[in-house]
Amino acid sequence: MNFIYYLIMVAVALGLQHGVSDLVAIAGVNPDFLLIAVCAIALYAGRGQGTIWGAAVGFIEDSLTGGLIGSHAFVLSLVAFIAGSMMSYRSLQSAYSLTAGLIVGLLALVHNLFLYLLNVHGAAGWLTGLLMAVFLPAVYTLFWALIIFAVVPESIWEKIYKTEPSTLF
Amino acid sequence: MEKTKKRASYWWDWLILLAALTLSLGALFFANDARTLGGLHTLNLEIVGRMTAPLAKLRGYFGLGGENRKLRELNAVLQLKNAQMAEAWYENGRLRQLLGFKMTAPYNLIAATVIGRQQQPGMAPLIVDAGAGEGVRVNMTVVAADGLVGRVIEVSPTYSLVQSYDDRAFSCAAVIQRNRLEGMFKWEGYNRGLLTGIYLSGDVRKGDVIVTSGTNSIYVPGLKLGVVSSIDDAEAGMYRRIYIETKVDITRLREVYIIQGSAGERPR
Repeated sequence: MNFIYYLIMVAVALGLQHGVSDLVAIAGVNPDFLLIAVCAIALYAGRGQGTIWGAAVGFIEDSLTGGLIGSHAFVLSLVAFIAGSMMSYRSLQSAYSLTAGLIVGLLALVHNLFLYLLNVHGAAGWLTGLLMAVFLPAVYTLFWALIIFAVVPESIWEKIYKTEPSTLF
Repeated sequence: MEKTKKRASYWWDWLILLAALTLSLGALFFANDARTLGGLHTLNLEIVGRMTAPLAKLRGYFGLGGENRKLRELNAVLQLKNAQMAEAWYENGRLRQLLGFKMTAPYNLIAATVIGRQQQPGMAPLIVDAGAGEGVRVNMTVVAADGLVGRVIEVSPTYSLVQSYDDRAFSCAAVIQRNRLEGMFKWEGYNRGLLTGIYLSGDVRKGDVIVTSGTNSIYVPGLKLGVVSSIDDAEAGMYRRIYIETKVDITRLREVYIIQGSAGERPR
């Protein structure tokens, strides 16, 4: 059953990332809905399942960016593992909105930094690069993560989070 | 019993991480040949295209009023220009016939709508709703009303992935329209393009129009890339650093046209 929830989360995130993320961009800075979805899965399902979902979503991303195959898969697996390790199932039930949002923001920094190091971004200076490709997108992703974790009705989160995690998927 | 289960789960998690990292690193080192994962690319593009298509209507509502006003103004200007160009076209045809030159027909265009865009700084391909079924092929040039957008890099039966000019991997042979000085256009990052390969002695002025040269056999010649916004000779070595202000706003792009054929082919 959880597998269906996660699949819906990833499908919605993929739709948002590719369909509307550039429409909510501010000065070229976009939120990362896929990272939010992967972290949400890892935060609940734990680091093992989260890592599998991170790798799967990462490979889909890699095949769509036209960039290096494996780069997103590497980073998202790692980020999902950290997210799963940072938050236990029980603590998440009491503080999913703010704490989960802040974890996503922190991991967005790690995620963007890895991708920045793996990919060379044109000839712009490294300080501009770090600001535009790492820091600002992480802050904007944190903003959206807080909105998503707070706005999605509590009943839906509870429905997902109160289901006991299955052994795998 | 519970302790053993917990311990097994702990090591199982680490094993999954190790497998995921090994797989992704393996892919990074060994699977970045386009032929290896060609089928996976196509399948993913088709799936994500279908998921994104319902959200594409949202794109149209953003800034629609302003866009309509601009388009009406542009329409009036283009009607005047079109009349002048039609005259020039017929005159050109007559002169070519006199000189014995062959006539070239205009390229066939495939209209497509941008339904999504991947957003990663440095690599942000567009997803458009025209694919192999409409005759789109890899490496076809993609344009908008204001000039070059990029090229097709992946095709599924119904959707295509377009590498836009603001991709870190994008480069194309370009010329200064005024004096045909040839250089290489690249995306410099964040707000501007960079024209390289023109010697310090090259005559370049602010406001010069940069167009594709067509010599790299992918992009058709004469497509507008942008105008020279500034020249930084202080930072230059052998070549001038010419910064280009591009004219196509990729972030607000909705309609694009895919040119059937490439610079290497004769127009149909």
